[in-house]
Amino acid sequence: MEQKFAIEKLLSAILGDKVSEGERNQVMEAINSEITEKPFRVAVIGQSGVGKSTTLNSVFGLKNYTSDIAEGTTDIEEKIFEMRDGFNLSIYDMPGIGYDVDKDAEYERMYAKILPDCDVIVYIINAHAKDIGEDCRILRDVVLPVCNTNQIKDNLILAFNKIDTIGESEDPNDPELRWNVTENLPTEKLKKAIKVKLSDLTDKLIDEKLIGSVDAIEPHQVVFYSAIYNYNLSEFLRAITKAGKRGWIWTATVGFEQIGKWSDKKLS
Amino acid sequence: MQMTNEQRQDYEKLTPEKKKDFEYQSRKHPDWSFSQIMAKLEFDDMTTTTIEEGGNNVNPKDPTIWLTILEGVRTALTKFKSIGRSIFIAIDSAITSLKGLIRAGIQRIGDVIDNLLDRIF
Repeated sequence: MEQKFAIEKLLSAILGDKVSEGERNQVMEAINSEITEKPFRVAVIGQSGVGKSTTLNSVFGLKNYTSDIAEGTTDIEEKIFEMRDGFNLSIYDMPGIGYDVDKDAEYERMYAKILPDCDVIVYIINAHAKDIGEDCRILRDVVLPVCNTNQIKDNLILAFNKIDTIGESEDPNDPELRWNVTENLPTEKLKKAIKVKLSDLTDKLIDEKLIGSVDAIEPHQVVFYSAIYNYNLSEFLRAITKAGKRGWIWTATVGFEQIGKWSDKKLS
Repeated sequence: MQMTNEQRQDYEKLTPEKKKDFEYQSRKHPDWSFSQIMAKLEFDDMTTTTIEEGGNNVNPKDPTIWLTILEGVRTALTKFKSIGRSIFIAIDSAITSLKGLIRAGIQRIGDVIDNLLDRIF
């Protein structure tokens, strides 16, 4: 039987001559059906400007994808992308709720309708944001209750994008706080600023009982990254792999194939 | 901080350095529970990883990722009644090998599985 994906090749090698050819074929058919029977569904939630498009470009390989969801939209369409060999990726591009508490119930209904069908739910926040209080409230009061009710909390990834801009938001005039574009790495001074900011962000998540409390998410479900500079995407891949019951499918089929793009880190 | 027996056991597993961090966080955040402080320590490790390794390429032979994948495969296969016991024994054996590598702190998969992945990638 033809082996299309890395996981099929690995399984074939692991099984070796320990099982009959018939048994091996049964496994391959089962895995292939698991991979191709329905699309790998991803919901991406975030306010305008958090980097939903660049995240979908760099993490999910949708090179020319541009998010065009208007704030306030609650009528979300599924967009399906053929990846390869019968494996499809489905994206629900969802707006952030914003600051209108009166609309919480409306959004909750939308999330309750869409999120239970998703294999991975990525909630994106700007890492350089001065105040993430509103995002914490939305997560605690709207997103997590939907996830807990539907037992899909493990599918959630809290993604802090744009860590490359943390220094600029502190002092836009300090070149040492800007991303080293030549090396495509943070400068030593920026590393320190990132460390302080991430520590503040984690304190906030813990204070808001989004982490380390009952019905909260686990630390491995939180990722700090820069989509535009492909920075720390290995942790993003790890989080996707661990997500829910089907996160592994992404990594075992096309997730690792993104490595080539990620490996090309030097921008010069 | 008052700890249950189970929490005390988890605390005792921490390295001396981590115990110091625990005490520091406990003083800094007297309102935090045991699990909140433990989460903070886990985050500190993550932050360090982000800073030190964030610029590294993805390692396609990372045993922790392949362990998660194989565990996912195993769970998925349990849905298929036709899959025999010998299949699960072989996968379990690979899972045990990966766990051993991870416990030993090996970052790249070695020996048999390394060779297998060399053929794949």
